[in-house]
Amino acid sequence: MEGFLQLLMLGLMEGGLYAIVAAAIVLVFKSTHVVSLAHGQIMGFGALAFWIGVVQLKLPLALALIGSLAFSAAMGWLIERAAMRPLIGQPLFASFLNTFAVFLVLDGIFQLILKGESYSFSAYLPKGNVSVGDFTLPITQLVSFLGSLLVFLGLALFYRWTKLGLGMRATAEDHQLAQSTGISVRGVFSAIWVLSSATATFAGLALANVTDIYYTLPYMGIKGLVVALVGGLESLPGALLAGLLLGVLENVSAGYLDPLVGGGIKEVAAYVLLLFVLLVKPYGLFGLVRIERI
Amino acid sequence: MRSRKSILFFLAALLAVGWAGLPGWSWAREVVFLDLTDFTGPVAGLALPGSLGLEDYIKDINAKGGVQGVKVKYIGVDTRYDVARGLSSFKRYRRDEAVLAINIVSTPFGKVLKEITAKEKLAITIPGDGEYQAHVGNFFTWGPTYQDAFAAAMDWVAADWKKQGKSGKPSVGHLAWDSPYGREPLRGGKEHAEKIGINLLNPEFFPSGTPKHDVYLSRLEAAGANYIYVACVDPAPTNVLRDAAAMGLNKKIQFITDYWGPTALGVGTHPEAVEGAVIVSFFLRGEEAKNHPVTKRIWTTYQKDPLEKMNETYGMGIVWGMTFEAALKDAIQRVGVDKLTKEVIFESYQRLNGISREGITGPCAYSPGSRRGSQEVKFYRCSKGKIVPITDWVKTPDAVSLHKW
Repeated sequence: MEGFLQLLMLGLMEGGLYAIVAAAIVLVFKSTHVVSLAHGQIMGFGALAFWIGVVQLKLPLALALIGSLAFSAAMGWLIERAAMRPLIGQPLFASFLNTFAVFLVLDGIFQLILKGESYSFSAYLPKGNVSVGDFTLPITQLVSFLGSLLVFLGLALFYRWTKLGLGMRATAEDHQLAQSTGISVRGVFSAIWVLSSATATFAGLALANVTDIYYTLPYMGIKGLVVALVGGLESLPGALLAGLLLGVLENVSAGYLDPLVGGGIKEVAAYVLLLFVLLVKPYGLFGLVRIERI
Repeated sequence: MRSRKSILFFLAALLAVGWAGLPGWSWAREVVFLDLTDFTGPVAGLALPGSLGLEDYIKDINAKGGVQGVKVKYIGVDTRYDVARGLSSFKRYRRDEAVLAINIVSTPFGKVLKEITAKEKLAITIPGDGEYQAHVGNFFTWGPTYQDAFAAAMDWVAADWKKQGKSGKPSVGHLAWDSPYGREPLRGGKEHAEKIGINLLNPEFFPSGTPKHDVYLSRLEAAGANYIYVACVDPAPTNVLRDAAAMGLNKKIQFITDYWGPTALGVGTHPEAVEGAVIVSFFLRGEEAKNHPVTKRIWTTYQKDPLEKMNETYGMGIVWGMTFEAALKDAIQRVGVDKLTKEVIFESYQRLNGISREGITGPCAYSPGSRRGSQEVKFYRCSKGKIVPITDWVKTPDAVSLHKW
């Protein structure tokens, strides 16, 4: 039982991180109906910008955080203006492929900057473990998890109470209707890329706090995509729940099934879950069911 | 008038031919050392500094006038730990006559290439896959094989267990990349461990790039590991140690890494997590590497960064260059500059037994029957943000011969 609880808790902690990556992807989809493959890279660059701020430029943490958010927001804005906006009116699949092109370009640059090294935030954050009963949790992971939950809360409040958030929700419902009510859909598109890039940076910071800035960091965007699909591409609560579910599933299944099958369960659990959920609920757990008149 | 021109043309042609025949002509000869390496990807943290060391050593050879007048050209290609990329790069260069030897850094790529080049006489240098020692061919490992280093580590474990006055068998876990490289140490290493009375636990394998290692570590802890041998390429071993430290395991389990364990890269990133970890290494580490006269001179001559930034695999790259230089020198002495071919260099690689690498690694152990780059390792421990030696050079056991290949 101890082992199970330990795996469960570690899974929840990891799941919280996956969820926030998925949230960035959900934000873009909600308003633009484009599934973004580029957010993993934005996440990586955001974390790298923060690392440069605190380690190389020796800025105070708050300033480095603001700087990295501003950097990734600018990156999101630039991607929207340069790569996505020219495709407005074109098939959505073209936009989706374009995010893949952005992914490849940014990945190449990220790998070249990193040169195989890894960068750590560990010197700047609390260390040690928290013991809860018989199991222990690393403080870094706990901080990251709580940070992720706070970001979710912030996004929920933003959508509920701000004018821009309400505009985004309206745009998500119907682009033409939103435009006819005076909402600048293009402006919303820009804003959503800025907001989702900033969210991706939070995800990058939370993840890098646990796993370091390593060549694999941007590929967590793929895991985020799986979570977003499982939760339903339009649903932020769905992203949170699916993230937690995936984290637990990965850890518990690897803990118990790896010895039976020789390992590797953790790597395939996400895709098995995705396959299963999409077979049963093609729009994800909380996705909107689109009904088309035949 | 016409006959005068003809005579002048004839004399000029004669002069040109004569010039070509002079020893000085060899200045025009340039040979290539091809480095199919990973400038990006999972092993880039160590492969890139190694390639820098190789490139700088080649620059140094050329600055001194080449190897008996023959200049060496370094060509490096980024293969990203991707077999397909490696293979296409290999095909791009394989017919180039100037390419006399090839260095590759990926064990999976080596496995594929071995099938393709099995009948060729072309020297390919590679990390420590014991298969090349078991089936002697055209692959030459950089140092001891993985299983030999693992066996040496098991000897160290047995001695450490005894030194601590503990009875019974020590239990050792093997935690490695799920790749041909990660499984290699056990092919012979397992037999050696059993022979000397070590209880090897079920090995744990994980894909390169795994972000968290908690599940694998938990299972080894539950199985009662006293020691865990980590086989992956830095910073991955540092990441394993980071997760182990976060779980508090480094307080009760002694971690040992293979020779790709923490270098300046890992120790610089997580000094507190790697504290106490032991490294079995075939090349100099820590301050020993930085203060070695050859590595220090080459680094300060060709790199702009301060010496503190030098990764220890830079010295290993210098050794690749030294070994190629020795093979080239031997080949030139045997056949002369004009008859240098891949096959001649391949033969020369087999004649390098005993040549010194200035103590950056043990002496070369290549011979017609050996593909081991050396047979010596040294043990280091991570201590207070530094890597300090805890033994002198130790001869590795022959674990390759224990396995049924």
